[in-house]
Amino acid sequence: MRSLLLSLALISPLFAAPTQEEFYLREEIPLPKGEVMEIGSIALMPDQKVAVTTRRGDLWICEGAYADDLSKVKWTLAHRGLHEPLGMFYQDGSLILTQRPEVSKLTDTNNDGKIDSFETICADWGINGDYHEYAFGSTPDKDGNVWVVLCLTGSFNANSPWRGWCVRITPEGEMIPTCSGIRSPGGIGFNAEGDTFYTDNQGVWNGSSSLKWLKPGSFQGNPTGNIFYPDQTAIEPLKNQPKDGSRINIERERIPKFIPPAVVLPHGKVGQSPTAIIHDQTAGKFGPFANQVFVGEQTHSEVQRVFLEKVNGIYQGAVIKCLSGFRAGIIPMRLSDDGTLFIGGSNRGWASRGGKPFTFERVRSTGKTPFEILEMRAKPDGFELTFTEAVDPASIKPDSFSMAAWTYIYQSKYGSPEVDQPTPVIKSAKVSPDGKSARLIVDGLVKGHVHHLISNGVRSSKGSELWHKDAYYTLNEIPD
Amino acid sequence: MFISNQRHLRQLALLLATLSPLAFISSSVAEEGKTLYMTFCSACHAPDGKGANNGAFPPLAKSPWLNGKPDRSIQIVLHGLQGEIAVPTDKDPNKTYNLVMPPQGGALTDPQIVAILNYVRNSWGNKNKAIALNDVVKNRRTTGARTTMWQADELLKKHPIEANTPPPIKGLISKVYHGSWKTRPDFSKLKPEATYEEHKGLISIANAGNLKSFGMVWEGQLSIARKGNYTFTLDSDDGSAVYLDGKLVAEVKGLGGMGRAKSGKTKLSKGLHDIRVEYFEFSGEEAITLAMQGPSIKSPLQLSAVKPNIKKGPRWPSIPIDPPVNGTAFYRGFIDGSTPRAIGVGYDGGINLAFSADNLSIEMLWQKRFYDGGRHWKGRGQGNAPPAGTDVVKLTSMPVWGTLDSPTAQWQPANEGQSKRRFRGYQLGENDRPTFNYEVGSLKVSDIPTPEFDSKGITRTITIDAPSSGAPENLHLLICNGLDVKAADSANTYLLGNNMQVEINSNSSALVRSKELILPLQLKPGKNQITLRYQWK
Repeated sequence: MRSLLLSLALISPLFAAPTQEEFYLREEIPLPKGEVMEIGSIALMPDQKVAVTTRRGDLWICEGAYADDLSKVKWTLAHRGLHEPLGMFYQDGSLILTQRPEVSKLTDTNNDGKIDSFETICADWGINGDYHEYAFGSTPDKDGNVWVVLCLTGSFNANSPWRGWCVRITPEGEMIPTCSGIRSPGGIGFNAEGDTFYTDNQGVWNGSSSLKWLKPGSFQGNPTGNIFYPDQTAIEPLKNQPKDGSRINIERERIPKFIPPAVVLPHGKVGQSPTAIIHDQTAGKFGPFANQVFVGEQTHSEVQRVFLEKVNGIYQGAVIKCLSGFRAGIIPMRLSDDGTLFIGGSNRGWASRGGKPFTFERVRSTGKTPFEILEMRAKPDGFELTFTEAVDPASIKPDSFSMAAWTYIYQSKYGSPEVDQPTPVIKSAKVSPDGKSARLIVDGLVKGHVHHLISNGVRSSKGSELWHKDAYYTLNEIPD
Repeated sequence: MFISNQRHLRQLALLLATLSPLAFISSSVAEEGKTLYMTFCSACHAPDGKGANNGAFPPLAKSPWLNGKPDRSIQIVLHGLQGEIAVPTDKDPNKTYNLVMPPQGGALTDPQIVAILNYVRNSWGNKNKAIALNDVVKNRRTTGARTTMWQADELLKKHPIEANTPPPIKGLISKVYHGSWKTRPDFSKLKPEATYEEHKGLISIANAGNLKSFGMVWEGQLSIARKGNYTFTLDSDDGSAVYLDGKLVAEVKGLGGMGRAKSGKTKLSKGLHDIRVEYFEFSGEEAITLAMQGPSIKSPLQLSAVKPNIKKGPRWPSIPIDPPVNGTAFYRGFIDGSTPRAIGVGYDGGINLAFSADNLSIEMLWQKRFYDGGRHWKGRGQGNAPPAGTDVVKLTSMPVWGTLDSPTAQWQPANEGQSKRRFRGYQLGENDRPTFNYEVGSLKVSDIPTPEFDSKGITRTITIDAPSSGAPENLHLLICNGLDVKAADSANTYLLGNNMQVEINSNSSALVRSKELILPLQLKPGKNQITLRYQWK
């Protein structure tokens, strides 16, 4: 009897937990021998070339990174001696880099494979020699501006101009101070609608790491950089200063410019150092998550998926884990139109679960659709889930779900415990006629809280369990 | 605040466990500690407590920082820790780290801290009495107002690491002598400047402070448990000697670095024996290590401070950056002596410079080796690192384009409106040699340094493109500040400090002031050229 059960388990896919290998192929791209390739930025170039920069300041061009046979990749050194670039893109024959001190345009004017022109576009923000004054730069927005988030000095202070701010750099090199309230960013990017987001790390005035919406003129929560409001005229300084030890949900009422984190990435549970932000523009070439956002995670060496929606004019949504097993701490990511995700990383100075000192990898969909929660939308009385495949209607019942909720203290101390835990109760769960979504009625939703939904009992119509059962929804607003 | 029943019960269980007079750690609490540790701590300290990524991050297993009295570990968890720390490991007894442990007091509750600390202080070979909830509560109360992380040395002053064994050398006293010797002097004829008690019972040159050349003598008593032959191994930079009961056992002679270890044997009876160590340092780095082996001593017993006594010199590996053959090396990091936006340029041939994109100036020149990336490319890379070469000359230390209202007026850097400074980048020409481009108001400037390897210098060609509307009035170029300036014998040539001269080729005469050399600029519309020829003397 026992052996019969065992063999049943072995032959029947119904009993096997889904694994990443079924849905995504992760491959390491060979690096130039003997080189320290702590990758800090990636740019996709024409002719399937990929440019990468290293934390040490080297710029390399990789050919063959899209090929089936990765053993033939060719690397060309284009320059050594940049200043910790953490943002790069290709534009009209040049590479535009966000380096620690400036945004610059690098060009190989004589086509010998080496950069020979380094044009400084803008160097109007301050650096003082502190190692933590990082600058992360975006790809261009629809107006051609590069968005740059400027980490606080030592991640605590604003000892150089515009520390703790997001600035936009116009193609003409003008710097437009855009948002205050930044602490320690790990990456910056856009969602499918073209709105700008950055990741900020847990720390002072930041209870948990989170994905934040850089609405122009907004305040992002850390008041340290507010000393620079008088140095610009476009944005009025805050009338009320945030209260230490309060809650974001409360301070938002007092500070209208305060945009709450769009999606909290709960510290420890989801990650510890969020980094790059990309969205899936491939319309299905990278799995079923078209237009959704992906966030890199340095410490856990993972990629997480974020569903965003706007409620009452404010972004919010859910984070669900996605890819894992990367070999170092993820810093940059780029997704090409053919559905190849490139990630680079390093763990120098900040540990990561992937134990290699640095890595360059690519991920492609195998074509098989994972059974996942595709969307999690807030409703006045609960949530609506959409799945990537039809569900087994019998599995959509309150017992298949459980929910916890919490928020964080908004404080000048470093991080916060999870506090104010109510216990939301799932009163009913109903499947839609097409079997692809479920409506949950929840008692005890709390505005401003992270709502952690665990969907252990949900099965697809083929009997498969969810690849990822945990979703964390940040309920900034409850829809009417 | 809502607390679910389950959570309430768990906290109660924790509280009860921590209040137990037997300080017994129940398995469920240990389990909770392990879960919390895995969630919040293991990313850096590793699931096995040995430090993530093969010990690239500090281990907790057998760490002297964690073991011993609980206050030190509680304080580190509450407020974080930064600055260099030494954490001896099995593999490397001299291992140091310079990372940052972020404060966790704001993120973890007191019961969570208790659970985590009791787990880590009793795992992986660590064994300690359990911490009680009240220990954390008391620590929070004492340092609650603290908003900054602990600096390592500051924390150790308050909560020193306990010596876990009796001091190896009893009654150890050290004497410091001022002087400069190339061979070991007769210390009996010298008078010590200072005498110290070395409570740790370890040979350490820490009490020599910042002295550059000095001598030290240590005297104490060594307790021998079993009679037999004992071997003493001595290494030092520069020389040293060890005596047992007045008899010379080992000596490292003359000048030189570490790696010249000498061993000597002596027969010792059971009981106390006089030990005397003499040491002198002439110049450069300094260090001394001493260990003994013998009957009933399993592994060599260190008689010197665990951490090498190197006070000067870099504590990071050397990663030399050299220009390629016939090429040019670039380094954009934090170069000590220039500004954060410095661009280091190393020409193949041993001539180097640092151009400050903040001050629009070649601020430093040096010869031979270009730069060492070791400091910035290890760990988080804190701090500035100096040029790697020799004959470093710092020419200026402020913005060099500016105005002078009168010959005696204070230097006014150009910065505002019409004279705003704007760095524009650089182009590489033959052999990757750079041309720096920048703007001072409406002036467009190109600045081309050309190394001169035979005559040991650099010629700097500055081309200023002035608009037809004319150049700003009263514009000056600061050629040097901070060095003594004197006119030399040849025309338009000036001595800068004691090993550099500059020859100016322009249509105006330079102004020599106290530690300043300033060139008034008379600019015509169109291109104006100035050359500055720097040479080491």
